Amino acid sequence: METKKAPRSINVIYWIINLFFWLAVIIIFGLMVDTVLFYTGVSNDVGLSGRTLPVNIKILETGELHHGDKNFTLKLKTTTENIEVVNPPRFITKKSALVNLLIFIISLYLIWIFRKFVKNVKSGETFSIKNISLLKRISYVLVGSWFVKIIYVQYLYFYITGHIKLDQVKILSSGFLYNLNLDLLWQALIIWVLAHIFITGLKLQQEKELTI
Amino acid sequence: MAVIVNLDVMLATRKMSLTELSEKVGITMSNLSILKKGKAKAIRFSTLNALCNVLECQPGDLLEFRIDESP
Repeated sequence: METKKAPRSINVIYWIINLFFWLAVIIIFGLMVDTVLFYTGVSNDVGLSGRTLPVNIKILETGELHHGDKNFTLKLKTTTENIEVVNPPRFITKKSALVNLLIFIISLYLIWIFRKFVKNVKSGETFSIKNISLLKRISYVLVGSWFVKIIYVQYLYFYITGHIKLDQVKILSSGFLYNLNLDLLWQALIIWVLAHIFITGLKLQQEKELTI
Repeated sequence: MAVIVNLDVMLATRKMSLTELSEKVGITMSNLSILKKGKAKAIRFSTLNALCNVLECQPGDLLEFRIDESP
């Protein structure tokens, strides 16, 4: 196969991806140590563990609007927002710590695959079977992580909202539609289509190579 | 149905090696080997021109169409 020297931009991208990869490795290592310390009772809190929950809420607050000599009573509308628990109990933090660790590991895996992809491009193997399977794998992992996220948020919703009681806020539903997070699916779809474009590219390259 | 490249026959009749042809035509040995083994998907007019020039033959001497007998 014909190999060319990679352009400088690809080298820069590879360098940046490498930096991100090793930073992610350090962060995940730290997070793992933190989680182990938390689970063994040495530490009381876990860093980087999210305690936010996107839900459909109704704020039971009314206000008054003064206009000239008239007063209007206003009610706040139902909205989909993230509620953030500042001091979550240990059982919630335990679960969110594990899920966060899982999300970080998936992210690291995605960076690792992308790093391999850029490395192949750098070495001149742009249209290759290896790169096509890497692209497809990225799209499948994105779809998988989308499922994980949806399940996690629904689980949190049923788990937390079943036991939570707030004075000024009424949780109406899980904000499922808001939290569908179609961005991940779009990314997966675009990368999957890109993989198929690479298949065509590979066929064209093979034809070019076999034209004497 | 297949188009056969009779490069080996032409080389044998002219008592010329593949290396010698490669040097004269300016095509790499690997590319000539692909052509000889019939693995090539296409052939450029410039390549055909150079081969016919060196081997002193017609394109029809190099390429042959055969009806595939296998089902």
